[in-house]
Amino acid sequence: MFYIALKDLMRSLRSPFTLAFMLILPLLEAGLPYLAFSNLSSGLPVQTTRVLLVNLDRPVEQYPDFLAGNLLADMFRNDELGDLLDTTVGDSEAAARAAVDSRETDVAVIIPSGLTAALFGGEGRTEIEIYHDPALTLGPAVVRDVVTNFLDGFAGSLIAADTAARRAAEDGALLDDNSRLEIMRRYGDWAQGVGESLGQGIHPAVRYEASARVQPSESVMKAQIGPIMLGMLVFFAFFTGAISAQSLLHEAEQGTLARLFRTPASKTAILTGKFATVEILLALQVILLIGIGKALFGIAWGDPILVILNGSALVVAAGGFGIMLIAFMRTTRQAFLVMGGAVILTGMAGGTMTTWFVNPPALFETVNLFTPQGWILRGFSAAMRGGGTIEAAVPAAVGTGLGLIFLWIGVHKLKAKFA
Amino acid sequence: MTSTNAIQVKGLKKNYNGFPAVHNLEFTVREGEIFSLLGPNGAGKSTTISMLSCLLPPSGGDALIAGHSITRASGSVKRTIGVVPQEIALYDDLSAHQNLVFWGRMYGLRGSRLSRRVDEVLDLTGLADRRHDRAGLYSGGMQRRLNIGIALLHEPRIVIFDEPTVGIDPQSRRRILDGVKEINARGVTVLYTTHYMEEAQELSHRIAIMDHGRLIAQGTHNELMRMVGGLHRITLTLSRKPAGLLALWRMLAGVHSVSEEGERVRLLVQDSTRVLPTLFESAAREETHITGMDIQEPDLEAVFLHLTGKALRD
Ligand SMILES: Nc1ncnc2c1ncn2[C@@H]1O[C@H](COP(=O)(O)OP(=O)(O)O)[C@@H](O)[C@H]1O
Ligand SMILES: [Mg+2]
Repeated sequence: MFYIALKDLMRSLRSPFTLAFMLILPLLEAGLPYLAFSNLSSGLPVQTTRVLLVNLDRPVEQYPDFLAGNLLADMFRNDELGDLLDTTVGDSEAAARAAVDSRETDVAVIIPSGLTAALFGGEGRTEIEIYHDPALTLGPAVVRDVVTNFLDGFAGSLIAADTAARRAAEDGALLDDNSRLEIMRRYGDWAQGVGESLGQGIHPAVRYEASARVQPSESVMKAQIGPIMLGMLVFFAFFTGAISAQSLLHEAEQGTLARLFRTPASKTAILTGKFATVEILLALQVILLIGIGKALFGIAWGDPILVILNGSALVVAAGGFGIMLIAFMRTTRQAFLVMGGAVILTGMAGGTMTTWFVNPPALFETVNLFTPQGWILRGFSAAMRGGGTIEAAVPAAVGTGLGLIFLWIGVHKLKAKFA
Repeated sequence: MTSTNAIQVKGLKKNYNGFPAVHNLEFTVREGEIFSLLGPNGAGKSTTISMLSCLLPPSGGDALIAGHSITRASGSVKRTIGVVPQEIALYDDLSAHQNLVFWGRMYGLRGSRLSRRVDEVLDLTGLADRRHDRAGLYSGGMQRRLNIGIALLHEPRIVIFDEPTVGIDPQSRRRILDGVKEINARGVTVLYTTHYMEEAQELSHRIAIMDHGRLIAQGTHNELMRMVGGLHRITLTLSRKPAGLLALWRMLAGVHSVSEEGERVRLLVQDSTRVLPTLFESAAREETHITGMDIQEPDLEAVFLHLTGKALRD
């Protein structure tokens, strides 16, 4: 039994194919976005951007009830932006900037005290400030467009109101201030619709600034690569389980399994030896990937004991899954297709590909629970987040249990097959 | 008596889903002999070997290998025999040396005995020079030899060969046949299956002919020939043809007929080995030189044809 495992390990570790699936692919998949330093969020489905709005605007004498800053704030509360922006209101510029720096919010919009005055042709230039997390592009760009839209619209509406007033004067009528505002408001609504269909640059009155204090390589990337690496670890462990279990079928096809059964070694010892190889390879893979993830990407996996628990669960579950599947396969060709498909489907259903989703749909969370991958991810993620012992250990126990059930089914089926 | 029987097969049967692949097989292999199972593809040879080597449980009957029952003492049987499977069964991503070490361990060899046996088998199979090359890179003949070598590692008293020469070149086949004889000369009992009658004829002390899962004949080569009442046909080319000489030959015991065919003389004899010396002596006395000779023995092909009405090889 020991020598069978030894021989299998030697063969597996010399096979470039096995090594590629065990280590190289998962590292590449997790590490490429990291190394390419590309902006992770740009490729992701739309996420809600947290906006912190600070409205410091003050009215001018002419229109004591009107604040341009309030108009802009209303635009951020527009329902159509509801999916994109989650706006809250703050009251201090410094606090808003600090919130971006500490990643408590994604974008801070600071409306200066002189906005209304400036817009009514006034005293000096005043800029609306957009201060954002440098790792994000999409959310800040939406904010910028909203502000630009507002400024363009406001300028247009002022011109429209002036024109209307001049016409009224020519007709001998005098437009009162409230009528003027009403015209501007209606113009603004119309202009907003037009503006959305036009491409917009940055309005000169907008200062668009990325926070220099948030270092992408230090925080965002690291925060993203942990879950991604974890997903890859779980996904490819199941691949390794499936591939290494296939050596049983391969030996059956090569005639070496029959030859093994002709030696004085018992069937149980032979099969145990083959299964041991699967588990040992998995253990090696899990240990190496966790170690490399930590060394290369600085991933903090969490409490070592919880990591060990979940790592063992992963080894048992991925091995059991592979052995169970192999028991139902007839040829290596069939196994390659069917098992590959099974590993990919359960891996995706288990959420290994979508660990970086910030707000995964509820359906995902439910589907996850029907796959061993989902449970183990749950346990590892809890450990990574620094969650409680129960939160991390229960999924590990469920994963181990599932693995043992798979193993039991596989062993029974194989015993019947080779009886 | 049982001690002189290496293999005793008693009513062995195997059904595959009702299909009788092997039916009531009865034969005995004596210690120290080469015994061949000769039969066409699908005759049930491999199935028989699989049962004898405890890979397949029989559907009925039993067999004793060196006195151990294949149904009740499979462990002892497995240790006693070495089996060369029909299909090459080795790890082609491992070298010959690694393969031998692994299989030796599977047979319980360890330490110095293991390394000694690995070296001996590498020499015996002529693979010592290429011992560290991957087996997958070997020629078909070399792989066949390694396939055989694995079965010899634990120095079994009985070796079973299942069609070890299928699909290889003539030199490799020659080498393997000589190897089988050499192993037998060292006292190992050999059960050899083949569908080549020449191999059975050359190697075997005794032969059993199988077809459709049944034994249809067994015995020594001569005994089998006698079954078809076969006569050897001797064709001689003579320097001259004295009338007295041909008349003398016609009267010899064991000579059935003498006929002239142009330059040559054809004799039908019971047993050419016994008659030939007399023929040479009498020719010498008549100062006649035998300048050419051809002996056609009735072969196993003829026996098979006689018993089944079809050719051994289709
Ligand atoms: N595993 C099997 N299942 C069903 N039929 C089989 C199996 N193995 C062999 N047979 C059938 O049994 C017969 C004997 O096969 P085999 O023992 O391989 O013959 P041989 O070795 O003499 O060529 C053949 O008809 C073959 O098709
Ligand atoms: Mg065969």
